[in-house]
Amino acid sequence: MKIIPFYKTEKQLIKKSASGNRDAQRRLYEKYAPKMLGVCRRYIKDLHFAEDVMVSGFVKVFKNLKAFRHEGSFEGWIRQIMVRESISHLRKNQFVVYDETVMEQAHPQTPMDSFDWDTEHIQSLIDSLPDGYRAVFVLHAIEGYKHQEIAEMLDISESTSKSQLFKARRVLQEKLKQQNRIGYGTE
Amino acid sequence: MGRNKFEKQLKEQLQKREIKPSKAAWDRISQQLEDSGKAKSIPFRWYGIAAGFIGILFVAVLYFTRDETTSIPETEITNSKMDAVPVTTNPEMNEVEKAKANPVVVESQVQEEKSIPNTSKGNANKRMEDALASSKAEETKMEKVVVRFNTSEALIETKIAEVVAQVEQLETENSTVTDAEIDSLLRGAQRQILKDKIFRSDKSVDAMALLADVENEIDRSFRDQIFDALKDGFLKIRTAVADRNQ
Repeated sequence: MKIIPFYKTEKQLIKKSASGNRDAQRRLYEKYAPKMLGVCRRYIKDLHFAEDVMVSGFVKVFKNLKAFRHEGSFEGWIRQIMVRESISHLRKNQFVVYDETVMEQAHPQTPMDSFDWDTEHIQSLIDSLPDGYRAVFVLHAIEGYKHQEIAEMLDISESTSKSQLFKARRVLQEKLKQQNRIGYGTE
Repeated sequence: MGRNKFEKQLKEQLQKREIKPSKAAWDRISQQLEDSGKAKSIPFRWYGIAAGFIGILFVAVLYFTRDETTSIPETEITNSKMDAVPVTTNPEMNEVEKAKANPVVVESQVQEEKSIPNTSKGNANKRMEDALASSKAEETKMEKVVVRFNTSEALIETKIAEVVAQVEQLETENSTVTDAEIDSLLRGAQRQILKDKIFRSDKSVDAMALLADVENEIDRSFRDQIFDALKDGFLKIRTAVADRNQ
């Protein structure tokens, strides 16, 4: 049996959702919610808090859906809202971004080779970073934001963003070293 | 290079990552959307109620004020009708004349007040006569409409004569008569005329004249009120001082 979709294109679905159609909104939610919860989870260690942030993010998405001009990808637009919502959650909880000296020339010495960890393992590695480091690292290395954009989002200076990234990398490198030692039985 | 490779791998794996939200998540979104929709609609509803209330208030005010304004002419009409009946049936009764006589006297008083500042003290008598003549002219105009009766005319005539005599007496005594004195004499005469009209010849009471008399008593001058207040204050202080000295 072939299921005929009620809304043929995503554009129609968005249009219906913008007019307040709850069924269309639910379909959009079901399509993007798992990915967006993944996005929120990168910034927020606790899954329940991450889900809270996702919920408030989706409420904002549906309230402002009329403002979406179909110029870029819809997924990118939602993702942006989720990232900003996650950052504002971190800021509400007063996460600290230490404004320290820039050390961008000092690259980590230990090579970070390829690995075959599962996603949960990677997530736990990122979770081990302090809030400020993690936010800058995820924004820059995973989401691809520039330091200038990160500085604006987190209300910090560009140099602070760079130093935070450097420190996040160094911490990750240390963690990797430990993992490798344990893995190869050197300790 | 090693770092870039590592981060690229991290990025790929994390971007693929999907976490299924709990079943309650959608319900929460739906609830929040409904709440915000209600919050938007509530102010409009309240605006509607407020507008309706103001409208009702406006209509009520209009209705009552209109009722008041229309009720006044109605009473006037009934009075005139009531007054008109005795004129046709019994010419001895002078209700119509009395009702009309009041405005005549008031008008003459107004004219007096207007003419006083313009005239000199020496011409007081002349002014009086002019003023009374003009009031008489007004009376003659009224005669076209209303039937006049000798009794009230005679009353007014005697009062005029009294006032003129008083003014002449004052002139002989003080050589000059102030405008204020003439004014007070005229007012006194007017009050006296109205008072005399309260009791009619058939021993009934003229409501309008009685009302005018009462109003005169109520409208005490500012000077009288001040004197009364001073008197009260003085008496209080006197008793207080007397009590203290005992």
